[in-house]
Parts: sequence; C-alpha cells; structure tokens
Amino acid sequence: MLTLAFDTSSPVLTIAVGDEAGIINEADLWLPRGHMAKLIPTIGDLLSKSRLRIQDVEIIVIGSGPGSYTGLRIGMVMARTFAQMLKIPIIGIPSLDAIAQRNARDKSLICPVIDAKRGEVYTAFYKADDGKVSRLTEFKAIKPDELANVLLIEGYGNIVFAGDSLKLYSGIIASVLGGKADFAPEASWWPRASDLILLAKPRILAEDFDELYQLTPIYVRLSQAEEMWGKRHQG
Amino acid sequence: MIENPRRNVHILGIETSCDETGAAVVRDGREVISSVVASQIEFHQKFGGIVPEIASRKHLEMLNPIIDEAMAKANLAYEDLDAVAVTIGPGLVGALLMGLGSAKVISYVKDLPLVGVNHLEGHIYANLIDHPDLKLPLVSLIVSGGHTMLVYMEDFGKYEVLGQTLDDAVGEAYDKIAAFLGLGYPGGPIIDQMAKDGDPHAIPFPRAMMKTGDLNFSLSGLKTSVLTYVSHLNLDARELPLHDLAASFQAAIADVLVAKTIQAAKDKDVKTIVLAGGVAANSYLRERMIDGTKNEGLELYYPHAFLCTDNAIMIAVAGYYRYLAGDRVSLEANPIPNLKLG
Ligand SMILES: [Zn+2]
Repeated sequence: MLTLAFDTSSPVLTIAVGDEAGIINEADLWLPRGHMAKLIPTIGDLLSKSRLRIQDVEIIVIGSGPGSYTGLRIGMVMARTFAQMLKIPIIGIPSLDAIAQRNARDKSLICPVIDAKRGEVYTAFYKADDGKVSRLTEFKAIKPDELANVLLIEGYGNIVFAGDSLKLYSGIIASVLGGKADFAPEASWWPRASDLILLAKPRILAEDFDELYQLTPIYVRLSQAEEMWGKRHQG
Repeated sequence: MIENPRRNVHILGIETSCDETGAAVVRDGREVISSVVASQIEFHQKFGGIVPEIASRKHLEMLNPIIDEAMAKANLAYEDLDAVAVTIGPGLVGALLMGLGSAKVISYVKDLPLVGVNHLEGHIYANLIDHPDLKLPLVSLIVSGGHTMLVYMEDFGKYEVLGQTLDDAVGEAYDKIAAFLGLGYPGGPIIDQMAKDGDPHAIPFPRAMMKTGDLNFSLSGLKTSVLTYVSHLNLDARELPLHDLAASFQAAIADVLVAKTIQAAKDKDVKTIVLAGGVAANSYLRERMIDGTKNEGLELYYPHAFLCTDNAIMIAVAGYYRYLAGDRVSLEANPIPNLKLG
C-alpha cells in the first residue's frame, strides 16, 4: 500500500513515501517552528518527484510522539485530515520508536531521551533483534539522573542514548553509567519518516489501523494546569 | 448595502481561535446550510478561565468529527464547495494552528481555494445572517472575552479601529468578578442573570474613561472598585448584596460602552450601529444599547445569541466576501495570533 508518513514532533520535518517494497522518497529538513508552513509544500514536492499524486496515497502514518506538544499537534491534525479527506486508514507510530529504530544496535539497550522541559526527559527502553526494535516499557517523563540510576540498578550492559536531551544531560548520564553509556551522534537524534514506514509495516499487513477520531498524540503528561489542579485537590 | 453579486457559492468555514471548535457551510454569505459548534467550557470551567494547552488538545480531538458532521448535515460533497475559509487570527496560537492545519489539507486534497479570515471581522459579519440588508458604513462595538473595541467599517474589508480597551476585555472583567464572587465561569451570563433582580443604581461604581474624549476603554479600575467594595463589606460582616452588585457592575460597564459607541457614530457620521462578540448576547447591554441608539436616531443591529459567541458561520460569511474579492492565503501560511483589523 502506498504510504505517506511524516513526523513533526522534533525540529526536523521528516516526510517519506513508500510501500511494501521500500522507501520511494524521503525529505528530512531542519525546520524548527517551520512545520506548519512547509508540511504541504514538501509533501507536494516529494510526491511530484515520485511521479505520484496525493490521491494515490493509500495510508497515512504519523509520528505520534512524545515530543513538542505544538509540533505534534500540527502533524496530527494534518495527518487526521489527510486520512479524513482521502478516506484512507491512519496509523500512529510513536516518534520515540522511530528514534530507537534509527539507533538500533543488537545486544544493546536503546534509550531515546528527548527534552520534556521542567528538567525531565521523555524516554522508553527498547531492545533490537536483527536490527528491528521492540519497546520494553511505557513512555515516561523522568529526571535524567533518576533515569541513569534506574538503568544502573537494573544492570544493563551497553546502553545507546539518542535524542536532544544529550545536549543538556549527557554529562549527568555519563557520571552515573560511565562506559556503559553510548551516546549516538547528533545526526541520529531525530525521528525519520522512513523508519515510521518500516515500523508500521506489520500493522499495515495486519490491517491494524487506528480509529481516526480517537488517534491523539502521546503527551505523557497532563497539561500543567491539570497537574497543578490535581495536586491542589489531592486527598 | 453590502453587495451580494454571486449566487450559489458554498463556503466551508472553520473556527478554532479560542475555546469553541466550529465548522459550518454557508451559501452566498447569508444562508446557513449547516453549523456545528462544540464548546469546551466544561473542560475549562474548573480553572476559572481558558487554559490554552487544554484548548489546543480539545480542538485536535473535536475538529475532524465536527467537519464531518457539518458536511453531512449540509448534505453536500466537497466538490460542491467553492472555498474553505478559516480563522487565521487573532486568537490562541496553538488553537489557531488546528483550524489552519486542517483547512490547508482540505484545500490541498480537494483543490479548493483557501481563504483566511480575521476572527473580529467574522464577529461583525455574523450580523449579515439576521440582517442581510445591513447598510454600510457602520460602527461596530465588538465585545467578548478577548476583545473590546469600536470599529468603523467603511466598506467591505476596510476597517478602522476607533478605540479599544487599554487593559481587560469586557468578558474578561465579567469572568474575573464572577470568579472573585465565587459565582462560577463563564461570568457573563451568570452576572447578567443575577442583575435582573438588582438595582443598577445601588452602588456608584466608577465610569472609567468617560471624560477622556477618546474612544478607548479601561476596566481594571472598575474591577478594583468591586474588590474594594466587597472587602469593606466583609469587614462589616454583612451579607453580600449580590444582585445589586451585579446590576451596578453591569450598569457601570454599559454606561461607558453606550456613550462611547454613540460618540463613535457621531464622530464618523454613520447611522448604523452593530453589536458583535459574545458579550453582545448580554441582555442588559442590549437593552441599554436599544434605548441609547433610539434616543439618538441611530439604527442598531445585533445577531442572535448563537451568532454572538464564537462559531464558524461568521467565518464562512466573512470568508465569502474575501473569496469574492480574490483574497487567498497560501498553503505556507502561519496563523497570526495578534492579527489586527484594518
Ligand atoms: Zn470571538
């Protein structure tokens, strides 16, 4: 099935078209705050370069987070509307899964760490088999030193870290985990739409689609207002 | 009269600037074919005001079903539409992004022109549904939770802001006073209702900016007066005269709004006055405006209550005129949260 995938959860606007046979074309553009303006023109370029029209697309795959709330919602509302207007199925694939896939190394734990603000990172743990990742945990927002200590106690061997939080926290992580921590180069910190298509493949084959009206970003957290309200009204 | 040359033009309007998610189909800028609005009030109520992050999340959840519902009720195919009109500002940026993102995809996939509408002009144009023969030029008082301004509209798309609030919007002042008195949210309808059993002359709250000679407003002083008045009462441990308080508070606001609106009409030598925005649904303000304009020989128009609060009908109506004028926004457009009129 001809698949259009994109992710807007990071500063990189990533878009790919592909099918079961592989990726036909991909664009990865460094565009902080440019997703709203560039998503459709870039899709248009990619399709025409691939000699395709938007009406040829048979399924939408969207990076569903976690990540920048605003960025995520731009991609999600547009993905949902593409599926709605084209009357085609939609699948949400977590953006963190794509970061993990991009950094998949067998025999290592893979740990994407992206900025969750408020001194925390969004993360989940992954393992790779034959170069394909599977997620071992739920998504969470956690302080980097806490994360490093959890990993230390659980006694993992080599741990691959990837994501923009390394800019701030690689020192903290290294001070706890020492040589076990393997920091991915900055070029592979961001999700790639080609990995979204790869990860979606089993679900496409199984026709395991998401419900259009129900598909929402993975925020991990409540809004700050709700969190504060919850704290005030506890017990 | 506003020209209405083309017939059988169908515009899909989309509105997500604040806390209402709306989609509507309007024919020829006058006839409502369908309209669906989902209010988020219940999600913001416990916070006493609109939480932007929650507003954005709810728009994302609600928008696609609402568009489907509006199209289904209109019993039209996308091929029957002539354009998509969407609010591009002013408003909450995260909220505006949802409507604009969705409208862009509709425009791109269905090959429809994309028209960007100023939310404030939308409020003025809401009047065309109930008053299709509205005469130009006009002066409009736009009063809502986010805006308080007097606008001179000479012709389609030609606006001059004559004055506006220097601090709180009228709706905002209502919300703050209602929250302070523990009456709930949103404050407008609650205070309007309570005031019906109160004496508007009971408490002499200040009429701010009445004598400044310009057409600007200020509501923070009034807010402080109410707070001071109540705190003194509390010292006396008397029971709050809520009805008189509500009535006197409304009277202080209405006196200034009516006087400055009439002043604006005189300054611009226009006969038509148009109320717009959520607070235009306030019954006391309407009565006072009716009396005030009648005495001055002015013609007053205001829309049905459901057209005063945010909705997509008004966006489709304003979008119709922009569409006829050949006004388009590109698929690269970004929302403009502080978009000005004129
Ligand atoms: Zn409004």
